[in-house]
Amino acid sequence: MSLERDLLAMATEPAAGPRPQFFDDPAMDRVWDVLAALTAELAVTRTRLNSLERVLAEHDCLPAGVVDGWVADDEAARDQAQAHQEMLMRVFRGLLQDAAAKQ
Amino acid sequence: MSAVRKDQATSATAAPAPLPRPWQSIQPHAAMPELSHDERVRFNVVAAMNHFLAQRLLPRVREAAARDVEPALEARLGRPAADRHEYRRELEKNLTWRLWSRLRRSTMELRQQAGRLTVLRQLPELVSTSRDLLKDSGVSLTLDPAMTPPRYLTSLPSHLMPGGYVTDLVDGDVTAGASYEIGLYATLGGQSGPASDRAGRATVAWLREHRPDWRPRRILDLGCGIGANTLVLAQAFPDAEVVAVDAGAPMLRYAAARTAALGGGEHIRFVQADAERLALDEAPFDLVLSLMVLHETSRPALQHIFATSFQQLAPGGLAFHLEQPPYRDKPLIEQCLRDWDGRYNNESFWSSLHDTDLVACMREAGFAAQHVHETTANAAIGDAAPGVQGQEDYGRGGAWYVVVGEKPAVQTN
Repeated sequence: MSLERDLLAMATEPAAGPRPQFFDDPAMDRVWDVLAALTAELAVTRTRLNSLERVLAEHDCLPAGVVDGWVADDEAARDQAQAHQEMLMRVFRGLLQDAAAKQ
Repeated sequence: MSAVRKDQATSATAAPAPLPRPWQSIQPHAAMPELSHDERVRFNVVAAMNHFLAQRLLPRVREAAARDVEPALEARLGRPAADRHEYRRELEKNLTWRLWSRLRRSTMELRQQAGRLTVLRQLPELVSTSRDLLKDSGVSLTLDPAMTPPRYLTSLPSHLMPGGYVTDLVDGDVTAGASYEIGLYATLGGQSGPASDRAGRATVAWLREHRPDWRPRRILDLGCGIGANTLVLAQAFPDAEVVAVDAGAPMLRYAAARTAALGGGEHIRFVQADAERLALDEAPFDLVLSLMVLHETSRPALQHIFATSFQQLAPGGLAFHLEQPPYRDKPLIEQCLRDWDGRYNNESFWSSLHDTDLVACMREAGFAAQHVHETTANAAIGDAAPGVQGQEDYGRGGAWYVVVGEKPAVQTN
């Protein structure tokens, strides 16, 4: 037996019953809901990284504390700063585009 | 030198409440879905968010209610709110309440989505495992495909579980039961114990205390769900015949497989039936239970379930209905906070149940007035202390209210 269906869609079906609106503007409910989910996924990701470091340490691939003690050299620091800007531009794309369109 | 003297410490700076136990504190068994690292962590994170909402944001809701909501109400009405419904309508205008409510609803939906996807991705294996486990296990399962589920289970599926307890997605489905067990942790933060059976343990503890040498020969569990509490009762009374009834086929299939996997419940018969109109063609029962079931039903259903518990009870038997404590004289803000699940988490009968006189309902169901009384039950879980009456976390912390009805061995009338 296999389940030839869209599992993601099935898992994301809402339960029957009313969907509450807590804010005057329903968009505010949606935004906070997305923020809650993003926060959860960020926490999952951070924990994945932490688990990975621990697994590597347990397998003697990466002694404990090495990542915390590691300091980026100039080139790595530049790359990471660039990555921060890229992420911010992705996250705040809409905000910037809206602002630009209103000029 | 500390800037804050000890006697100035407020509740906001008091030692934080203990963190939720991790998901892996749940007792694994062969019928349970397997969770990947991220799936386990996601449940931990949802539990952490619930902990944050209860420990960090909820105190701010209470402060806002006292500081802003109550004065605004009194200014508008010229008197304090008459009941929690009037109070709530003002509370719903408050930003802190809105944020707490919004995020709480989101964590409930996140739990359901996470649990469901974990189950669905391995559903074929879960279905065949549950069938294999049941074979030759001694645990019995009788389903009634013709049964129409009660409307309260389909129109407002409890705690926002899509499809509720009664929907089969595939032949031999166990989705509802499996998703319920792995996700319950995230809502309760592990407070229900490794086997999600704290209410059952509280019931056994109550029976040991109040009827120390009693050995019920036949036990009926109404609304058994995944059978976690049923198994505790069955293990406490290994010589008893146990019948566990539920309306949901995917719950019962999972319950039976879970029982077979964990062992010790070979004398349980799981039966699909409507507890409101139970027609079991067999001897009456010494102990009839419902554990945290009533708040998911309706006012007429409650009366029918109590009637079932009276009809199915043998002379000398005990009916034991465990629920959350009634509101009675609780402050209106506390009533509103506890009512949240009723309004926003699809707990259909939660709010009005807290106003319902269960003693009167038991009498109406046939129990003699002098044989009905109220009591409390709780149970310690692991290193956690027993629930403290009056300090319960919306009835989740393990401090429960029970209405008990006895049928005298010899009828006095």
